[in-house]
Amino acid sequence: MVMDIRHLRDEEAASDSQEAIEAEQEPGLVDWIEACVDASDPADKARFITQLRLCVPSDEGIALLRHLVSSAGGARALLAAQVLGHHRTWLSTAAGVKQHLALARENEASAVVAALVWGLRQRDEAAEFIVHTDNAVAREAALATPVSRRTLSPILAGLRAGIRPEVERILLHKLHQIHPSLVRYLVDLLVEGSWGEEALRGLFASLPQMALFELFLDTRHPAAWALVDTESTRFWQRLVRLASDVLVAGPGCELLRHLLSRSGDDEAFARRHGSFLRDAVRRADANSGADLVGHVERLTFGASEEKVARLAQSLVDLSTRLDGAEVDKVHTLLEQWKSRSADLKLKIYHLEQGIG
Amino acid sequence: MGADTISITEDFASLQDALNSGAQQCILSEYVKNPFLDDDVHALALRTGMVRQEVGPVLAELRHAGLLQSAGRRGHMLDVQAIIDTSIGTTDTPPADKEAEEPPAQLFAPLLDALSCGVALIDINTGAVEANQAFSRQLDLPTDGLNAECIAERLECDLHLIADDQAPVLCALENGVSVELRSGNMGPFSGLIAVVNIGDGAWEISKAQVQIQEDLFAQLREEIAHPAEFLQSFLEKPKKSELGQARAAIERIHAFLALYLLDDPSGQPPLS
Repeated sequence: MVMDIRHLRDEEAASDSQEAIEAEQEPGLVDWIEACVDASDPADKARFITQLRLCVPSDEGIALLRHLVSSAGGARALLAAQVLGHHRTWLSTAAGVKQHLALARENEASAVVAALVWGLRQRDEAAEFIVHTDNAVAREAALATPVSRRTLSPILAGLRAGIRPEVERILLHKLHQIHPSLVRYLVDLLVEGSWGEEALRGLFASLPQMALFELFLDTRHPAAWALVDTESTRFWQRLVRLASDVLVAGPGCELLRHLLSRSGDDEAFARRHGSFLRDAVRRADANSGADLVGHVERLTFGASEEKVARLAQSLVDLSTRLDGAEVDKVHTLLEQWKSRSADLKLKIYHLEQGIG
Repeated sequence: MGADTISITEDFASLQDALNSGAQQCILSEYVKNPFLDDDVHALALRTGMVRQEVGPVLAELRHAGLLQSAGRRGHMLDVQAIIDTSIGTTDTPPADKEAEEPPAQLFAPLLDALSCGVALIDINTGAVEANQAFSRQLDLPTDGLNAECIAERLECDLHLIADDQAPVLCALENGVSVELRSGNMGPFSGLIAVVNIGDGAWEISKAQVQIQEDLFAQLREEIAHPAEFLQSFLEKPKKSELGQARAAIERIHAFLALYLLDDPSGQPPLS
């Protein structure tokens, strides 16, 4: 027996075409973007933004968004760029990043470029936009750029070129958190261009103080490039002088603790950096005074007379920056030390009288 | 940004009008410019030029006002539902307001009451707290009207900052009781979970140990350090007149060592 299934096939075909129509009618990324831009009611806009956040764009969706960015212009392009920055599956391939970069380089609307650069956050590629002529783009690039070996050169190029104050603030803040191991590499890059005094001073003031001290002031071996010719040597010496000025002008608690510890332990270090330590202690932040006095007290617990004598100078200098209970603590400590021997008593007395 | 930006978000900008502080407006304006922004506290501080410590409380206020919501991974994003509610609210009372008037449902009461230790579930956004009796008793807090503000005041900490940081925090109180706070989700609840640890008298034990240690150190200074210091100076410049004192110093040290550290000649450990 043969069953006639022609009517079933017809029904199947009809249902397939119905599904195709429904699929076509189902709103997608582009529809939501269009609807969001066209909506006059804020609540409607908000709903479409929620939809755009929740959706997971496929490769085709990403391609559509790129197409909108490059061809639609205006608010549509901006929203598409923001959606691309929100759904960053394209970051997983080098080609995806390359296409995104190309979009950002080619687009002429600064707001759209800024949104595209935002999409590159925490990616080294964002660094190339730091020197962009538009402030919004440069600011977004500075925010998006991580500090790494790859990005140090464009960051320094931006700072050297004289970027806008807000962008400079962001970059210097990021450099403040640079890993100490990168500081020598950064200093090696400084030789690549000509730097103004103020730009260098601002840069050094943002770098980790311990790394600067060790690199410029506590080393007998300058960077290899500094020995190439006279000009390089002069530049290195200029950097050393600037680093010393910057560190003395605002020494941090960590640096002062390091200097005090090393001076106590190592007589040669204390002799070498005596005047630097004295200047630094005299400019110590009064808020860190109690911490430093406590540090000196710990360092001198059961210490030799020589070590105590070396640190006494710093403690006397530090007392000029303090007031209230902290000064009393310094005096108590000095009196304790005086009672250890007549020599020490005389030495501390001279220091207190400023004739040490 | 250009005119394009305004055409998308100018309607959202009205949200800022309701805000009192410039810091709140400054932060919200960044989210209005880009409704997909999901910055965390650190990134926002950098973006706005504000001090990081100031940004946390402002974010908490904006979250409390329903304008921002968590974006996961410590980030925050614009709560677009607020815009929808604001828009609907012009014609109808928002359901959220009605809910706010009613006391929050005690969903976890049976579970919390079954626990012997004090536990509280703190909703950071609304300030609502669901806690068991043990929690109120152990922290000397009222059972009725307990809210996030009371707990923050008692623990002397900023609950919003702890929720933002995600990492668990241990708040120690003066009586040895400690409270561990950690972010967590449980069914419909999402916020901070506070667990009281009364320490089983560990505080008293550690206090007693500190006292014993202090006494021992004082004895060590008196019986070992001072005589040893005298001996050192004597050996550097020996004087006949101090010979007796030196001998006495050695005897004091020996007596101390015999008492605490050397074996008793009878074979019994001296401290047993």
